[in-house]
Amino acid sequence: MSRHHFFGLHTLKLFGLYIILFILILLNLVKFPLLGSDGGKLSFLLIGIYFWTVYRPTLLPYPVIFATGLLLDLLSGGLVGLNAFCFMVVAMIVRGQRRFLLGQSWSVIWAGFCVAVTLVMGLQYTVYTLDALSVLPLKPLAFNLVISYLLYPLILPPMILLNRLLSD
Amino acid sequence: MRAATMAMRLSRYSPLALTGIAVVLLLSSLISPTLWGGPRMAAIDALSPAIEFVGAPFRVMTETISDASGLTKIRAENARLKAENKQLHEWYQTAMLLRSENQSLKDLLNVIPEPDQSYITTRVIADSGSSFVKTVLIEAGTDNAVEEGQAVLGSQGMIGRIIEVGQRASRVLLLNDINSHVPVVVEGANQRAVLSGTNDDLLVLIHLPPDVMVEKGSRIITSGSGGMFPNGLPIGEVSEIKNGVPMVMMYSDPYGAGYVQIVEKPQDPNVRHSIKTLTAGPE
Repeated sequence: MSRHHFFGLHTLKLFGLYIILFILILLNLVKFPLLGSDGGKLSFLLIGIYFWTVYRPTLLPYPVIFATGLLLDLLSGGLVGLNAFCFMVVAMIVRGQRRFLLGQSWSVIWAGFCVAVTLVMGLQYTVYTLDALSVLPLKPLAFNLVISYLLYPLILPPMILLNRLLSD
Repeated sequence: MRAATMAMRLSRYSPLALTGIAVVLLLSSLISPTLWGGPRMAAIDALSPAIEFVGAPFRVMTETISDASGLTKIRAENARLKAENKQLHEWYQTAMLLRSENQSLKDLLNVIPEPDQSYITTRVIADSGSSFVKTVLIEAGTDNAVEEGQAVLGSQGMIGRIIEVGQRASRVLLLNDINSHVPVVVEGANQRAVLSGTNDDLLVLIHLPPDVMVEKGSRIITSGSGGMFPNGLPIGEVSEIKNGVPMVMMYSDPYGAGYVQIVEKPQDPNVRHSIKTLTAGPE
């Protein structure tokens, strides 16, 4: 009975994690006020993938990361496979550095996210530039990078809360 | 034992395998951009209610901010509108005179009438989700008679065209996307050209003959070449000449539009009949 209860509660918590990821995918598509025409293309989903890969990699297996990237590709209207590829690369790098990151302060983990988001946006900028055979403007890229860096601490509280619930 | 070893090997190599699959998908999308249109619109159709639900608070926030900032400007706006209204009354008289003159000249020349345009008005529900793709999602699809290739208008002029149509939602490629190319006419110079997106705020006018001088402030409208869009839809005006290349600022901010109008393709049976008569020639 207690085992069933534990299983049910744990499944519910896991469900919460995937609900958060799903909301982060949808937030990637939402138009935000005050950010202007170039803003709002933020890395919500990447924040979730980075956080859970550092703290709970077993709950976020590679096929789930691939699937979320692919879903974002289909919804965003961009090149199919690009987000899936970028997220897989980030997840592999972060898992490799996980032991180092877990022993670090919060600000170092944030810095790690800044590196990850720069890598993803840099990769995407390169692929879209090659696809268009023309150098794309850097201003929107720089703007979205800065906003994404600042977004990480704002999205963190619900994920820290869920992580604590999962530890209980 | 053998199966367990294989499972271990698979789990070890699965990230690389999945990355490889992502690269294959990416290459297929680069080679044939339309290949994934079906799955894309199926995903959008399935998730459009969820996208709309999550985006609703932010839409309300945008409207509230816009209303609040509008209140502070209302006095200046009122004075500007009064002056504009006075000017428009004068223009109205001129327009009526020109319309009557135009109609009588058309009657004399037996010109085939332009079909009346009809519009579908709908709401913008989402953005592209990428800095490098300039598209928006609208809440109308095949259920609402939306078709691929239709022009999409903002409050002041054309902002894009339909590129993917689902049952309940469609994707609009904005004119400022680097893959957008629209045949246009430069008013005044009466010169045909192609308006191309740059992924930035300003669009570029290409394929202009070198001897044509385009002035700052010239209006850019659709030419109707190719029959994709009706002619005369306003797009924007030349805002600057950069290294000899005219740059165009759109009348409507493509991201500012909460609602858009889709121009339906003309389906006037009388016009078809007239064209058939013309192509058949005299009996």
